[in-house]
Amino acid sequence: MKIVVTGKTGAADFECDPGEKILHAALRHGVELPYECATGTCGTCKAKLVSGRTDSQWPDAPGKKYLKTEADILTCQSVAHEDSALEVFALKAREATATPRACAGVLRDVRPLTHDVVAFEVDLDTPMDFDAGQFALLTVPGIAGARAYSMVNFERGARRLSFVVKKKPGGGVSEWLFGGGVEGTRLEIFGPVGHAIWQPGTAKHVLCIAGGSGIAGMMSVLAHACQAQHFAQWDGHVFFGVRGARDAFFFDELDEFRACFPARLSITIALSDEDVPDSLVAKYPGFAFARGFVHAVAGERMKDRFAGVRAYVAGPPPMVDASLRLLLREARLPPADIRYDKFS
Amino acid sequence: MGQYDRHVFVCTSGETCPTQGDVEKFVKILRDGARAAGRQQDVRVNKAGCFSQCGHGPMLVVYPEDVWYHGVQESDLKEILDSHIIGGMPVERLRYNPGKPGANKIEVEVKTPQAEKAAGPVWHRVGAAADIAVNGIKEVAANGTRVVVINTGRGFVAYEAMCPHEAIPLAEGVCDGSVLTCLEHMWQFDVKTGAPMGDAQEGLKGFPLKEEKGELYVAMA
Repeated sequence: MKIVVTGKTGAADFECDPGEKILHAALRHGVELPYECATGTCGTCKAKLVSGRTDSQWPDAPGKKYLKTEADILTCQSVAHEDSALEVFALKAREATATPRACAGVLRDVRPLTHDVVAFEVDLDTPMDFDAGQFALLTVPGIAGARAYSMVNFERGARRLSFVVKKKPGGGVSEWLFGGGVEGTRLEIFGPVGHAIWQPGTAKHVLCIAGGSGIAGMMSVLAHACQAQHFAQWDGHVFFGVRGARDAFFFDELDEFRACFPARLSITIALSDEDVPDSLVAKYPGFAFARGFVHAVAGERMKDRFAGVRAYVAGPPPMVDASLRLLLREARLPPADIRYDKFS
Repeated sequence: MGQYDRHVFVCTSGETCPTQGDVEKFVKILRDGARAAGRQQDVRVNKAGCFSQCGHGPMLVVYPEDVWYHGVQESDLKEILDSHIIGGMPVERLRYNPGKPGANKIEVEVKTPQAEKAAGPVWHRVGAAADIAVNGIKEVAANGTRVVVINTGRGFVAYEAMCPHEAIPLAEGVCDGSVLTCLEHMWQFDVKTGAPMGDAQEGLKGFPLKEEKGELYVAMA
């Protein structure tokens, strides 16, 4: 089926397979329809159906609250039944390196990082290129709907993708992963997607503000920036918020990044629910520690140091919201230098 | 019986109802409410043209009971929805009963452009200037229209209350004195002119605003 899309900045058309999400079809053909979460919640992929016939695969998607008329659809949840025409606000050029595609992989090496965070790997059937900070949509057989997870690792032509997941009671995929005995399962994957990317040659200091499992994409950004020797020339400020010492993970990995560029790369850990234990300070002498919410700690310690910064934000929605307010109002960063994902 | 358990008509294109409340939003609230109650198959909410009762709006009619509601405010919708549309019990306090059948228009301030020019704008008090801190964004109602008033630090400005992108309340956004940002998708506007910046594809509709003796007034066309 042929889908024609018009936006204020131009028009494009692409082929959409039966049962394929319109957004996925567009992206894999290099047509950059608007999207953020790609999983039905944020509403960014809203489009107006001008002609043709489509159906939502998830009629109760939370993102529907952004739709204004009955002609509006969420392209990330909709499939086409015939040739259709859509209107969107704007089509943009893709900034990310790789064209996303559908593929498959096998779940491997599920292991706990804390009492409520697990890491897992997916061995891909075919290698994938992605930019640091991007995410992939994973679909588990028997569980409706795709979930978005940021890649933790970074490498070109990756054969294996690394992810972390926080345990969410009632979360279908999260409970399934925590249930155990799931290694070897084949997963459907669509990716890479997401705009919260870091690319070499970005002449900016890097600021990461992460809460909990939001650190995932930052690990990829730091991995690539370290490989590219970015912190030989530019500053890196990483603020990682967790509740308490028992929620700590990836500290060893962060310390390895820091040790490569101790002059310019700093790691600050914010504990929101307890005072910083001496044992933690003793174990990570290269880190700074503070008690408080991570956005507040970042705001305090970054004061007057926001010039020339590209910021990355990920974590629980209230933390992301507070961080965006900080970065817009206090730091006065332009939106192009505030990178975040709206999934969760 | 008709095709639906309840069939609701909301006047959205008459001369006065749309000026007396955000009736497009009423339709959305009622539809969302029916859906949330799992009744989207049995309840139909339609946008309607003029009922020829101008001046008594915002107005809606619910069938099969043939109950007419007048002067409906957004805050009334939940009661109409829960009690009548879902529950079958009309909301008596809002029932329209003009005492005469047929058309029943009253003259309200629907002005011709000439008359308006002669009369000048109609100013509506929207609150005290002191209630809005520098860079504060406050949503107010001016003659039933939702408006945001922003203290730019060098004066106050008034714009439509919702981001033109996804209808997100701009009062939840961020102002740094020169730029207004809707946090939902980072559309930005020049706070002094409402002009679109960056990713924004549309500007904000502005309203004249004046300050007198510490009180703010917004003019509605």
